[in-house]
Amino acid sequence: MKIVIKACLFGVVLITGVTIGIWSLLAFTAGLKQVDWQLTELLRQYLIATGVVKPTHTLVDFYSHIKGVEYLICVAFFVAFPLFFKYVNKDVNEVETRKVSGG
Amino acid sequence: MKPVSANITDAVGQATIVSGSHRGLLDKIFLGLSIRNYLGQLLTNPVNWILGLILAIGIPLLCQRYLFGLQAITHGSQDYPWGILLGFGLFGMVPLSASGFLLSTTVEIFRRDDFLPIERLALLNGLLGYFFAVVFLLVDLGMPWRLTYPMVVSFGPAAVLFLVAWHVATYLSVQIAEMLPAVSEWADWPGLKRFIKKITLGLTIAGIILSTLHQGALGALFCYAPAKIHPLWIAPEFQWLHFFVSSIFAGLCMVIVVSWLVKHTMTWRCDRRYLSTLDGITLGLAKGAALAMITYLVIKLVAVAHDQEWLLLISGWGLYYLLELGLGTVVPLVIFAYGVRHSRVTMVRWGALLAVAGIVWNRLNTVLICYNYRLHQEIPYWKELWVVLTVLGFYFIVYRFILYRIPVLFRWRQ
Repeated sequence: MKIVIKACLFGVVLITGVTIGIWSLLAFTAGLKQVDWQLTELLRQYLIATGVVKPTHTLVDFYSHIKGVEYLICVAFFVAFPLFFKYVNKDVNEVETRKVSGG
Repeated sequence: MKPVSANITDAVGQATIVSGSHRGLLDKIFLGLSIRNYLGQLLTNPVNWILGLILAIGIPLLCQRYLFGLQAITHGSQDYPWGILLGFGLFGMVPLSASGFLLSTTVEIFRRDDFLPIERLALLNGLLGYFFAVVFLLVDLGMPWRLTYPMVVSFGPAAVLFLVAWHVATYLSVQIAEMLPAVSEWADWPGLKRFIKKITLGLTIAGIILSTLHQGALGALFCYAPAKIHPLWIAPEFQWLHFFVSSIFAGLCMVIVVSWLVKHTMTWRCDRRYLSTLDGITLGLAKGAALAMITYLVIKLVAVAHDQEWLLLISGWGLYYLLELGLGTVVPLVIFAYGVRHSRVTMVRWGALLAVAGIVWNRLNTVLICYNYRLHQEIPYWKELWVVLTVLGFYFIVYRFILYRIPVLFRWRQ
């Protein structure tokens, strides 16, 4: 029974992943076609669409915007750094274990 | 016929390590060989022939520079004032020399005695790197008798160069003092070693303060001309931090590379402690370098966000910038992380070599290639390149001379 559930779950995840993959590939290809196959132009439009690049009219607007982006980078780093630290500090010592029977 | 190193080992190997006090100065300088034998082995070494060729052309070029001025050997101009002479010699070599303060801090402050076998090599690498950066500076500036000007004649404290001059001078003094215990063992002056041991902590702390300030000040130097440098290579608020943080992994990677070269080319001079611990030390250094690299990458990203330069990243210069960051930092970072986790020492060493090249590339970009990027591109004159090669030749000779003699790669038994 467990095996069947696992297989079903795997199938669902696989189908969802393939669907999203096909959709993103199509979106990416269609986007590239719209900008005459210029990758940098597509990136520029993406940066504008996501709000990373936007026109600012006052110094306060400018600072609010750049500080917001910097904040997001820093938050991501606060998560990424400990994970990276843990990755490179992997404890290589082998721990021997054995099954103890009885009390 | 035995190789030259084998002859030297036979002649002085054990005697040098066991006790230096019973040998004369000439014996120590000529490695226990007669002058005739010593000169003979010098002539049979092919590396010396290459060095001889470099110096035979380079020394007359150096004379030409001092007799007829800088324009005789460089294309230096008001548009490109620094050229490859300082781009490589000063800005490239100084971050690679951060090894001294990094390893002395690791061993003397954090008491990581597992890095002790490589501490002296790191100190020597730092000392010679800084010393030859000054030599490059003197070749560029000319008039070496005016070296004392920022020290005693005309301070000019408003200039960043004043900071750089004072930091280099004082830090060089500190580094010489830190190397004195090794020299005292070689020269058999135990009193000097005892004195330096007493002030080691003070010297190490002075080294940290001076070196970090000085690495940052080199970056701050570019704030003199922010409009001339491509915006991606200059971030006035972060420039000092970029230079400082990049010097951390640059210094560590340089030690990895130098210790690797020494292990293969001077095995006869390394003691068992050095050879047996080097692989573990290399992985430890790579771990530190990887953490510095990821921090550096994030600060670079923050600088792009701070100056709102996202659109510049997708221009031609931007792709070049990404290529520099990718090959010089991201690829070594991935190699280090994988290599450390899976204990691949050779892989880590190649990664360190790539990182060293990357940091020199970054400095050359900032000083030369992306400097006045809207004007013509500066192509260095061949004579300037040869002078750089000549000074590097002297650097190599001095480095090898010291490693052959002073107890850096081996311990002096009492």
